[in-house]
Amino acid sequence: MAGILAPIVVYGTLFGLTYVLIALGFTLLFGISRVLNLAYGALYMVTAYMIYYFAVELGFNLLLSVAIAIAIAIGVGVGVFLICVRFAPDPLRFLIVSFMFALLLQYLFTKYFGGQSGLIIPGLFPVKEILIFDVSVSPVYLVTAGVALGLLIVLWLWIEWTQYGRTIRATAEDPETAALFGIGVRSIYLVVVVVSSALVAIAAVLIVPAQELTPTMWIEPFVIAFVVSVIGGLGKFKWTLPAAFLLSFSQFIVQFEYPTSASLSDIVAFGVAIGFIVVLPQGIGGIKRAH
Amino acid sequence: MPTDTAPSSDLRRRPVGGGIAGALRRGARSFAGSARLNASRLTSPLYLGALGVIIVFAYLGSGNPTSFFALSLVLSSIYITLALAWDFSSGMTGYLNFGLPFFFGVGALVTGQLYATDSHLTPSSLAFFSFGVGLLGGFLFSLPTLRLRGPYFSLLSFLLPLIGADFILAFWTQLGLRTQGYYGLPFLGATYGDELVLLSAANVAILTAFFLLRESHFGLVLRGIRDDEDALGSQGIRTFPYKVVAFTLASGVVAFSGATYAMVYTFAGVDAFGFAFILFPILIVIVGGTGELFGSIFAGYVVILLYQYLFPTFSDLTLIIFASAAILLVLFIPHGLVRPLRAFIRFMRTGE
Repeated sequence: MAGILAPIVVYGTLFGLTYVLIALGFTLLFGISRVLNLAYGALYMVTAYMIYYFAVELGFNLLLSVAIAIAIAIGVGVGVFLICVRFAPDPLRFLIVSFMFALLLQYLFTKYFGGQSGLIIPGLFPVKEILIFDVSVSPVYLVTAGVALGLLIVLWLWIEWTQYGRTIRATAEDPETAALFGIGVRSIYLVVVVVSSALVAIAAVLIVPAQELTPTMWIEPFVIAFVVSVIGGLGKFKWTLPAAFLLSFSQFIVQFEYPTSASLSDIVAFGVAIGFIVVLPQGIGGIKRAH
Repeated sequence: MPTDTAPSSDLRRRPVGGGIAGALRRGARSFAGSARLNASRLTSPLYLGALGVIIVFAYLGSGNPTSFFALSLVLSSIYITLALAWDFSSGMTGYLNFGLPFFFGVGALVTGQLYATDSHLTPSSLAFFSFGVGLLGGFLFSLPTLRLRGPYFSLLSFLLPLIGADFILAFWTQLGLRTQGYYGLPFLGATYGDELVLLSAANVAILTAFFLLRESHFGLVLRGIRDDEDALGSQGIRTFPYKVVAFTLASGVVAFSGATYAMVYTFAGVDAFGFAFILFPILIVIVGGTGELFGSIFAGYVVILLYQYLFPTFSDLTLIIFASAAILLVLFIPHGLVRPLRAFIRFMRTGE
């Protein structure tokens, strides 16, 4: 166990922060607007394929491609949200429509980029691995972890310590009363959707260079976002960090103990989510409140 | 006469509570009771129309038993079974279950494993054994998860097929399963025509059972859950056991459907956990109208036949068209097409 402690700590920490980046937008969106958006993971896929399309197929500058891809992901996120809110306002119809949008995007990318994996985006960062506590780590994960931590702090400061953050919290608590006090609830929702979509797009920009593109790649980030949100408590974005660490450390402990099966860490993630939903549906963020 | 609204006044007079076993007993009694008491409901024009549609398509398909048309009708029948199960559980209660592919995959793999163990088993025994495993799996899944409400349940059910696929990939050998899936399963029937007749008969039985349940006290509670679950609770009705029974039955039917699908293609693999097996049932129910049951029959043939005949021409674009159609339908015709038909029949009968 001692021999695998260092890799568990290093990878658990780095992947935990990566999970934070993936889950932040989902938790924020649910916390404020109370809608569960199944198309959230699809924005990750949109960003990845758009970077590939502009950078590799059209030969654009990589940074320009990233900027365009993020803008498109935000546009798709806002579009799906506005359509759902306007025409399918109840949560269950919202769920169905957002799920169908995710499938639609999957089929669109299958049609135009092919169903097979193998598409690679050129990395934004050097590929030479770095040693931390004698554990070899890709710079991609270091940068992702740093960005995740930075964005978490910025978001926390924005929501907790600014006037606009207070209006966001007021809207999340009681949208009708907030509207009564002259707060533009719709514009708040729109800002939150933009921020949420941008967060998942940034996650894709950082993580995707370490992956191959496939049309089903939207499922994994969605599942991570969902599981982290469930552990922390749906909508309690301040608890995203401990929840993400709990998930990543559980996964890596199992993965290092039973290295033969790659699917086992996913099963752990699902198991943790189901355990929390059944035993502690309010998540770890709810324990404090209940106490 | 059962109504779509205010079920509580009728329900208050009935015994409530009693846990899962009580609910199972009540469900069985309710089914038997409704079959007797509501036999007159079987003369409903929509029910008879749905039966007529199934019989007509079975006749047409068995006339050309080896044709592409017959195969398309076989697939339509399988998806209709799935849609009926989804409509009965999710459409009627409002608890959206995205976990359908899990039980579908379980049904297919159980069939494969059973046949690999004993190749003398007949297709019908394989299908019914899968039905039993589906019932058990559905019951075990329902117990912890149906305590959750609405979107939370839906999200958890969304994870189920993913867990299923991952679990099987992780433990293929430990579970004694074949890593490449099961080839060479027995054909459900000698020709597509025979398979169509069998599946049509199964759909008639499932439709009748679900329809009688829908028209019973049991169905009244399910529809009450969709309309206002808290109101039912305030009347002293424990909704949880009703939901468990509904989802258990639906899971059994879905596993049965997975078994028949595996035998039509004579192959069962992890692909059976794919999300395509939720897209089409949801689309069929959306077109037919949620909670309507009959709508799934009419819509099932239209949707799957359209898909089958469009796919050779449009290839992957067909799925894009269908997903887009599903979105547009949920957004703009959320009650489906059967409700207007029902209104038309009422107008023809009463002039109102």
